[in-house]
Amino acid sequence: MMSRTSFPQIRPLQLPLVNGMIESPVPSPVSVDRLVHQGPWRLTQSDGLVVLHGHPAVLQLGLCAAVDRSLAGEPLFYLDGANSFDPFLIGRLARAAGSLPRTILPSIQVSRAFTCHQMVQLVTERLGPALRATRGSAVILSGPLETFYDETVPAAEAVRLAQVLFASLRLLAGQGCRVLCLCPPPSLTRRGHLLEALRRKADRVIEAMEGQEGLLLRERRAGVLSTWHIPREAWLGA
Amino acid sequence: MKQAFQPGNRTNRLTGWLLDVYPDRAGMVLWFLDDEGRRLRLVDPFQPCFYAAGSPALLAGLNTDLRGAAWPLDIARVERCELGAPEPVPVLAVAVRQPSVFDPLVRRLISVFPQARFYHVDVPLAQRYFYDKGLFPLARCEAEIGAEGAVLAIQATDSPWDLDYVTPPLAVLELLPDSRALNPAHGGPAPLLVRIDGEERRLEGDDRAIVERLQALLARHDPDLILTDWGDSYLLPRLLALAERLRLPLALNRDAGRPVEARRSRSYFSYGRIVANAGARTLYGRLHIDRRNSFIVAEAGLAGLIEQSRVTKVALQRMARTTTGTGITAMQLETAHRDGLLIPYRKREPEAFKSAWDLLRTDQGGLVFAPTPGYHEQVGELDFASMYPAIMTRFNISPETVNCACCARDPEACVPEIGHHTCRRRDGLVPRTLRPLLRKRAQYKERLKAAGDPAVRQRLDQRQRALKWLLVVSFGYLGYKNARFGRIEAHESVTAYSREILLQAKEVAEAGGFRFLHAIVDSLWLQKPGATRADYEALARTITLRTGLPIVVEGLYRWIGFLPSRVHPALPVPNQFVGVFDHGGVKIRGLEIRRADAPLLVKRMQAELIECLGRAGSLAELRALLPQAVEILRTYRTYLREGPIELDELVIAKALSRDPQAYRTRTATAVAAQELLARGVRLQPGETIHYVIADAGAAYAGDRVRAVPLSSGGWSYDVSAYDELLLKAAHAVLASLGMDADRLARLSGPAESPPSQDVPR
Repeated sequence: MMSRTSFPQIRPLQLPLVNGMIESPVPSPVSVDRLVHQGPWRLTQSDGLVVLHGHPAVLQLGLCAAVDRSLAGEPLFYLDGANSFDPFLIGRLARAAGSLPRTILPSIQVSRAFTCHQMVQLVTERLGPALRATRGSAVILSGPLETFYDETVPAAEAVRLAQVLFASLRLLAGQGCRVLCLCPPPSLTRRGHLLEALRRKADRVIEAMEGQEGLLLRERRAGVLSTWHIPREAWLGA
Repeated sequence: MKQAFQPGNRTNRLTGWLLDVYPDRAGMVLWFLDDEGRRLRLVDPFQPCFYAAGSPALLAGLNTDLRGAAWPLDIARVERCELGAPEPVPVLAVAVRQPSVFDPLVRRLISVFPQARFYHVDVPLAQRYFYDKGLFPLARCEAEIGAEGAVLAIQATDSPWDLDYVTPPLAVLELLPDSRALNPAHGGPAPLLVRIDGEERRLEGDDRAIVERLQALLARHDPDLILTDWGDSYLLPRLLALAERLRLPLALNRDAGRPVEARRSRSYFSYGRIVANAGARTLYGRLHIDRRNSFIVAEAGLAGLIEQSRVTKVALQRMARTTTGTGITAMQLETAHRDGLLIPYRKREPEAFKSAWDLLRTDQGGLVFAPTPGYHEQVGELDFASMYPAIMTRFNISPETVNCACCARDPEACVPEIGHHTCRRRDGLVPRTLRPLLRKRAQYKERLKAAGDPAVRQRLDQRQRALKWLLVVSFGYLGYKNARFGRIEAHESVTAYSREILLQAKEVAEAGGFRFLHAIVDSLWLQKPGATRADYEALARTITLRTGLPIVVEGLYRWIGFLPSRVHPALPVPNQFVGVFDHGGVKIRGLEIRRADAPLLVKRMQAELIECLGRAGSLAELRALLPQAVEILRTYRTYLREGPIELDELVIAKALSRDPQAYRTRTATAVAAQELLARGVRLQPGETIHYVIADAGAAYAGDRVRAVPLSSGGWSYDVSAYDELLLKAAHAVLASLGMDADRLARLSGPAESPPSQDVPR
């Protein structure tokens, strides 16, 4: 059994010159609506722990999910291990969705982790109190494993810390939090087993890959394969 | 005269220099060059200490474990503070009586007690020894020595902050491949050259003869320093493997009881690009420096390396191979250690949650005013001296002082724009670390102005450059992941102040009638018809008075060209310019001449062209020189077509941006890497490879470029491709003088070029 959702083709984005400077492209409302409100990565259901992995563009899709929650008025926690948080892109998406950046951006709480020790500390010590203080339950981890691919951290130590991280994420999911982990391809291939371990802990696993016409997302759940297709222009424009 | 230390029961007093320090079973081994020319192996019974914190139950378990350990330890319960913590915490202090077991012990504990917080566990023991004894690499020392070379007392008689220090008279042996190959590991024959005592020898013959002759030279000359080209990645690994296979002695170490230390190569990201580290082969009792694997030796020579090693207290062989950031971190660690603070193992504290809106406001970087494109005359440049470190010291920016608990309500403590504040009561760790560096560099620069002797000038310049690099990275390390005391809010505070200060400088300049042409973070380019150096000096003084930060006149330009974007010619590009100072010096940024990947031929043409234009004293004269500039280009284009051209002139160097197997598209770099791999060359991400363009338009990608060194046979190069590079490089300089690309191509050479030029070998 297979279901397929396709996004409409969108015209390539133009780069308008304003006062002699290139202005950032603004995605069209159609693409924003599709990217932000209709993707399988949305944090609207009680999905628990969701892993979206495979293609580097998953980091941008995470920003779309952040905008979706913010537009819904929900507080969101964005834990950034890939130094990928882009407030400008969020602002552009917000504007294209008919909102002002300053109404969206305050509801997203960001913290960047540059080491795996920081990422573990962030999830195990800081996130819980912050969620309780805001009554929030939506969390995005952008590149949670990127900091674990640091060769200066011994492999055994990275594995031990990753286990602590995964246990904390499971605990959060068990408490009703919706957690989306965005995992680009491992930059240190010999630590690719960490991603496999995270996949095994997840309630949902969505794989993103580059297809002929754009980005292809696949998820197998209860024996059913679902696919989504995002035209190249849509995600590159975003 | 070089002798081994004569053991005995008598106490000896020695004066000399500290050459090498490393941990051993009985303490720290010291190699000492005394004033009689002896190289002595001494042992100082040093007991390094580490700390552990955690719950009482955890510490009790740790204590029990340690008391059952096979190694002699001294364990005590004490209280210590972390940087910025309001109260001390109870910790277990563990002194290790055998320094050689320190590392294995802490590795085991970290793995067995993952919940414990460890401190002082990963500072290299040589550094710890220097911190505790007030010593530093190559320090001039007095030592009192007892039986068996045991150090009874030792103290430095000079200081790392001295300007006029004497370096030890090191016996140096140079070892390098006698080859024109850019990297001997990429192929080509490479006989061994040895230079010592002003003589050069070529070691030839079979493998056995080479190892035996080198061993004889090492035994006869007993060098303190082995200076190599490609020693880490190529020479020493091969020589050691050869000696082992032939079962021949090769005493690269002076300490005969130890093997040469090998650290494998690795690749890492730095400032957004991947960098290859060739690994290391370091010695005990003598020093090995690989000139091809040392950033600081390339930037500031041996004098710069020694300067950095002295002030950072990072051992010389390590400093040569590590990043400058490790150096500045080591200085901060020493400040923390001196203050009695705990040095945490790995940075755990993440950034505090902030809203994306606040992130947008605070994380902005330095301010850039886009230049007014084109050529300008009578322009002055003012530069803030070490702006970011100066901001850190002036505004007390340090991880523990930003957003402190005590000064939140003090309006004077407020950081402009971003809502942070800095402490007004306690002097921060980072400012205290940076102040002596800023002072010493300023003193070197003062001396440099007055120095006449070229050798003295070179030494002073290398030393000030070494300090400059430490200051440059001190800002980045406020936010860097591995910076032990980094904190992103401190990083943001520095850039916020820099933006405010640049705006203040702009206001002052414009109020004085200067036109603002361009500014990048800490440099300003200004124009005022008829303004003299004295006018710019007066402006600098006013800006310094207003901002509290020193700004100096970098120079006055006869003319300067802010060059436009090559892709969008209507757009200005920051930091891409060429200018000629009133004293004739040239300053260039962003052009081929400064790029590592431009062929020598292109660089030479651009340099000649700029030299020609440099004769102009005004814009009118500059335009009048255009025909001569075009003639230079024509000469090079003709030379390219007719030759005879050398391979070295065409070689393009590129760093591998990823694993060579991971390239998806067949770019020139990917093709050259594949060719080298096929020859059995091992490559790593970040490594630089070299190639020539053979036929850029070839249908088969593998024919487009050829890796250098060439494998065999003759070679050919693509005249059109190199011709295009020459034209682009010339056009970059001349476009703003009204020379469009087509006209430049037409005026400077024949319309048609042959597809390729064969060169017999």
